[in-house]
Amino acid sequence: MSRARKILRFTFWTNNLTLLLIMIPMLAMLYPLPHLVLPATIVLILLSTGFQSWYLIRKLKVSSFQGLYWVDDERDREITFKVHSKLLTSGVAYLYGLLLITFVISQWHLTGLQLGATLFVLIWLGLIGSNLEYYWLWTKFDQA
Amino acid sequence: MQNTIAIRRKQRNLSQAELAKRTNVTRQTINAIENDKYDPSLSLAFSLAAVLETTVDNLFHKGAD
Repeated sequence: MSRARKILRFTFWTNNLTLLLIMIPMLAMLYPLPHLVLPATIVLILLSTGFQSWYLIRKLKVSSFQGLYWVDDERDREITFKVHSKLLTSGVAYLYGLLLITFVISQWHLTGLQLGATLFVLIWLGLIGSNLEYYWLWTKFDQA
Repeated sequence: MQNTIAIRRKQRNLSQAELAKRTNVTRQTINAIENDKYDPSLSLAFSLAAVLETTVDNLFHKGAD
């Protein structure tokens, strides 16, 4: 397995874990959860992010976190450009969709908390979707 | 684009990993080129030709798409 593929897999799963943890504070706003859950979740998110950085730097030899940090050669670079290009298109389409949805739900006379929770979930789903799309596109283009 | 890299590499008893190391790319890239899944840049094509002691012309030819 190439280093790029190892980094891709690692970041895919750790991003999923972080996104799941991020959902817990949202649930704490909507449902009564024990008081310790929120600070414990924040600690877990910080630990998860710290572990991700540590593993990338120490084990996967990532020296820079700028854009194409995992690129080892011209083929990796080409794949990354294709993936980023598709993601940019999807991202813009998602933002237009979010604008439309925000307009629609603003007509439903929701409370501030409900509106905030709905937007939070939509953005969260967008982040999960982009993480999935990134992994799927890399796997699709990385046909060695 | 088709190529004769695999044949020439085997003639010189080189593994994909060795060829990759000598041309500063990953083994996966050599594999992708050999299987016609990736067309290398001109610079990499020249490096491959140099390591395999041939010319780019002999190494690559336009296949039926």
